[in-house]
Amino acid sequence: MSSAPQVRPSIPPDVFRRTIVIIPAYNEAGNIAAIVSGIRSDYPEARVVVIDDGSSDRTREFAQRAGAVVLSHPTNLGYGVALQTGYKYALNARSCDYVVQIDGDGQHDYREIPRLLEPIVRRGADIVIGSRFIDGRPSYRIGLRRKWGIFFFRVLYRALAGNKVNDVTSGMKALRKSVVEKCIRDDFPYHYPDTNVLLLHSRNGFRIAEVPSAMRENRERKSMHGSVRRQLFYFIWMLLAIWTVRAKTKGRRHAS
Amino acid sequence: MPLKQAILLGVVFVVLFLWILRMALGNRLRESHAVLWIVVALAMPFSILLYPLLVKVSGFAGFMAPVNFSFLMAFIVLFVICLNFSALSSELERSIKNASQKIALLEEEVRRLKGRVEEAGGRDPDGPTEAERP
Repeated sequence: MSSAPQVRPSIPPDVFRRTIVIIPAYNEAGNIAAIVSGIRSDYPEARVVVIDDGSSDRTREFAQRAGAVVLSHPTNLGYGVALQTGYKYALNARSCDYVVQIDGDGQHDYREIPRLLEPIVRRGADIVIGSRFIDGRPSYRIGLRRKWGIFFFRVLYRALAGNKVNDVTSGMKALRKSVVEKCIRDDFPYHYPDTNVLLLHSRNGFRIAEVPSAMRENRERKSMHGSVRRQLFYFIWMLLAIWTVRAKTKGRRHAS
Repeated sequence: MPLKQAILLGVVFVVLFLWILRMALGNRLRESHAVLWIVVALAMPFSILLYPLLVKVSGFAGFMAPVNFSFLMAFIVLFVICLNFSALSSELERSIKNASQKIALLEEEVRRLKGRVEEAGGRDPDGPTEAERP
């Protein structure tokens, strides 16, 4: 894994017992076993759920063998749908109060899970984001177009939400159950759940916190926003999604 | 309308009409969609039968030639149909998403319950015990 700072805030073991770690994965047979085994050995009380999004490789088998509960989509439905399936599982699971979401490509360091949970447990936050942009520079090189995109949506988020979030596109998050309840609704924007979802949560009054997180580039350099065409589509789509959230939550701003 | 054009439109309409009917009867096209396409195809015989009216309306709307007016109308109708189908496809996508999620969750539930049954030696762990059985 990456050279993440080994800070492990003291989280009562009871918190891990009430935590489900959800990992959306699509053709991640090369990474998934190491991630699941790592979480299972470092936090044995936490439950690990891998959402296999219609993989054509052995993701499901390796995740199961490593000790994860595996939810398999019959076909590839996308990252956001996989996340929502994980949320639905967590809401029906017995005694689950916290959900941590990390990517299945090994970009996120699972050893930072306690750091993500700490603001929820100790400081009353509802959502905690693992941020690449606080506490120094990101630990890997981010392309110029993407960097400007993140900057643009950060500024837009701040203007519309009334509070500051540095890494509006981070997929590494910890959520309180009350937030997860909102994410299983049919109107959850599951295509690209990024800035728009954060804005929705913020305008619904949830308290958002950020903690520094060292992420690394995906080994195979796979990305949902790889080509210029996709980035352009994402940009236009996200603007529309943010506008929709703004229209639905008109007049609600929370400076959390 | 010149006779040749009228004959051509008439033949195209009959072929389209039979094709739509065949698809509807073969369950390859939903009845409501079949009706929609028949209504769209009816524009052809109407434009033959009511050609003088078409000329008058297109002239009133400021078109130099009735054919331009017909093309614009066809474009608008097809645009509305495409938009309608996009909405329908979004709805279907949502249904597929929910169904797939349900399958994934139920599959896991079945796997868990099977594990419990196997642990209980083939008995239903929530079922009656040996003593409770009649």
